[in-house]
Amino acid sequence: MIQVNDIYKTYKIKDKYGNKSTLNAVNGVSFTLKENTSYSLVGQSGSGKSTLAKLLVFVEKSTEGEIFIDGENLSLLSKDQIRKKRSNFQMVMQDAKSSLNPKYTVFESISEPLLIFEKLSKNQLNHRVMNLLNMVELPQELTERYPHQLSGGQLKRICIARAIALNPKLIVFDEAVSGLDVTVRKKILELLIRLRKKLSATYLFITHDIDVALFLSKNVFVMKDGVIVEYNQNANDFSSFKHEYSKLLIKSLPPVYPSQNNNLKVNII
Amino acid sequence: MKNVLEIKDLSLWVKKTGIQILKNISFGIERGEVVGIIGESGSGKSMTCMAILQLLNKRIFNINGNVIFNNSDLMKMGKEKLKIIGKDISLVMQNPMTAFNPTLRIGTQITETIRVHNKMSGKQAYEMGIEALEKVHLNRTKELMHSYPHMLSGGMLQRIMLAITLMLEPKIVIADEATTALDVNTQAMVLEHFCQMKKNNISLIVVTHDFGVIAKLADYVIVMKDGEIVEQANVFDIFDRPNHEYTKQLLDARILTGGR
Amino acid sequence: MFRDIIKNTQAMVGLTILLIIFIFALFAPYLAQNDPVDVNPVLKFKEPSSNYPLGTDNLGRCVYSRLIHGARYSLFIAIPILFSLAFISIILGTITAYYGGLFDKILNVICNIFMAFPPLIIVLSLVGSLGQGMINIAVSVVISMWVWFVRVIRSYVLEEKNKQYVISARISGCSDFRIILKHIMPNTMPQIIVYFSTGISGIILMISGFAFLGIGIEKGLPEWGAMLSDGKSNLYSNPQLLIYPGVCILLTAAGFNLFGEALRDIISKEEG
Repeated sequence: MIQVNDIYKTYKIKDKYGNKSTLNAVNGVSFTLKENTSYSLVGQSGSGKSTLAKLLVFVEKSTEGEIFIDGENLSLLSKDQIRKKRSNFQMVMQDAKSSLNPKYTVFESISEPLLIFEKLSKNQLNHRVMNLLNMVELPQELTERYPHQLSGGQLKRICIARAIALNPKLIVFDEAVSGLDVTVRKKILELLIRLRKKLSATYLFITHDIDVALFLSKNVFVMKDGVIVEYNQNANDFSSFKHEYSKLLIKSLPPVYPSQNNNLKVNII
Repeated sequence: MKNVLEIKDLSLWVKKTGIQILKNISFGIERGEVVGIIGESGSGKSMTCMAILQLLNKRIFNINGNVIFNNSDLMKMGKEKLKIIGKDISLVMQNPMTAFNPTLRIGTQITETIRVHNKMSGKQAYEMGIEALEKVHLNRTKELMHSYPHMLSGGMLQRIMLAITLMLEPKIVIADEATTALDVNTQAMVLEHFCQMKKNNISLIVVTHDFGVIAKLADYVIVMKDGEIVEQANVFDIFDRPNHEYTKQLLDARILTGGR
Repeated sequence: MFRDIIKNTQAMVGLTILLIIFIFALFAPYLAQNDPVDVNPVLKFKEPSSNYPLGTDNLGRCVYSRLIHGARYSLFIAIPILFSLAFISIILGTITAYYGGLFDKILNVICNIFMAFPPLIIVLSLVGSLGQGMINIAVSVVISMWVWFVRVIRSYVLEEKNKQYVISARISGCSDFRIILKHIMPNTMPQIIVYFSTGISGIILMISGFAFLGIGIEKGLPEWGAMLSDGKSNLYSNPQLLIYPGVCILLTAAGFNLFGEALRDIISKEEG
């Protein structure tokens, strides 16, 4: 169980005249994520959703507030202690290509977390990596390829394999499918759903697309300006959202079907 | 109605490798019509735009075919003549950050663009610029004119880009993934501006990978795959009776929940 | 990458020049016919002959032998300088860029102070206080140049450090040491190699320049810069005494530059 208690992240910024001010990227967020459940978090760029993701996997340290994983307060730990706990919380970042070391082969990239956290023989390591490739539905011939020789969808799968390698308790997907082609996007989304059945963990999907959020989970958080404005625990359809901002996000979605009226309505928000 | 722009048998090869990027692309666009080109990465949809605008380096690419605008073939035109035509065909790109010069104020860039195309004083151009920004419903226009590109968000810059485009009164606007990098609600705003353009009888070529954008704007849809047009038809026909397997796949992948 | 180097004409031209110079430097005692410092006033300003392939200079020394031995001085001073510069700058640049903080700020101030003076002035004053000698000049060049190299490597590492794969390595549990060694280093190394291979020509020119001014290298040693300086008094009667060492300096510097620039092209192509 992951429990987040009133966390804040404040950045110090300087404007063009050198005046200092502060920006609250995450402005007091609390929630509890249950085991073996998936959650979605929707927000625009600038809503603080990516910062929140970074706080959850301790890439950045929260200015205030606590994060508990299975009852243990991780906010009190030092940098090195956190490092030893990293097998518990993993993140898949938005841009798959740039989140893989260009000088590493697929095998090296996937095996890296295993090498750090587990003492495995060469055979065991090989076996585990092949297993992971199977999990993310990639052919085993790819192991010796480099990132620039792979397609966007394949790269994404490798990032996912890296994240699930250590059987973490929490996996955060930051914009898991944005920037992918539609058909690839659908395949990755379906993979995520299959993966969820095989691998028990807490999943948090962060996205700007409320449609994707709804597709992946029934528990949807809506975030705006560093605050969670709505938590919809029973998000079956668009109409179950109550907050004004959530409704605006839904209204802004491009239409599913063309209509003559829609084309001519000029309505600037 | 007669086509404003007509593309006939456009083909494109990379000279060095001999790889064909576009294969016999032909379509036409009428006045005030919106043609949507949809395809995934590598389908050659952006290359088609570049070829239409004569922006491809002829030393790297072999280009065949005709691009007919106002009864003249752009492919056979010299650089000087193309400059004049340039005012009639505008391009809106995906990343507005790179379309602006980062070292100049927005105002300077707008007034300069105006003065390249029209003879007028700086002050007149400035007022015209403000007017143009107001036309796309931007607030605090004076502040905007004084800011640098990095101070504004992508959505804001894209709307300024549209303001500049509209100001030049083009006959055809080519939007190459113009809303891809934007948030859902900024995208909605930008799409509304495109709708307005359409109302003003400007022809639009919308290049996208998103059927939502197509549904919102297009009258006529071209589906591209691997440098070829696999299907082209009226929007309603595409949505109701897609013929090609690939079109069906794309349409299918588009709807995740549909709001359920 | 090696295949790309072989295919690239510019790189191969540079490499060939360097190889020839290296062979000359390594086997100088065997290739040179005469003792480069053997003074023989009777034989001064001789025409080229089978004994003296390029003739003799104003003190009757064999020009050909001096040139070949000169390659030793140029390379064997420049290369240790380069290695010490590389050692200092890679360690300092990487650590300050990666950790940032107070140490980085202090180093920045030191860099700014050093960079306020041209290297020439620093070397002049250091050699002045340390005295003549090859080791002294090498030490002074290192002291005058290290900040420039640290700065550049720091900027490479800073750029690399902010890339997403470093963050993702951290998420996977890599320690700072592992991130630096296994992720940042391999990715900055090509650029660093390019920078150093173009930088070495600067160092060679600098040493020759100092030798020309009579700083660092003892009088009479067959260093190219010193040979230039010796030759300048006979500029009108025997211009070849200036031309030979000049061409040698030019070729060495050009060799390193050609190779370095070609390497840069190859690497940027690989990345793009």
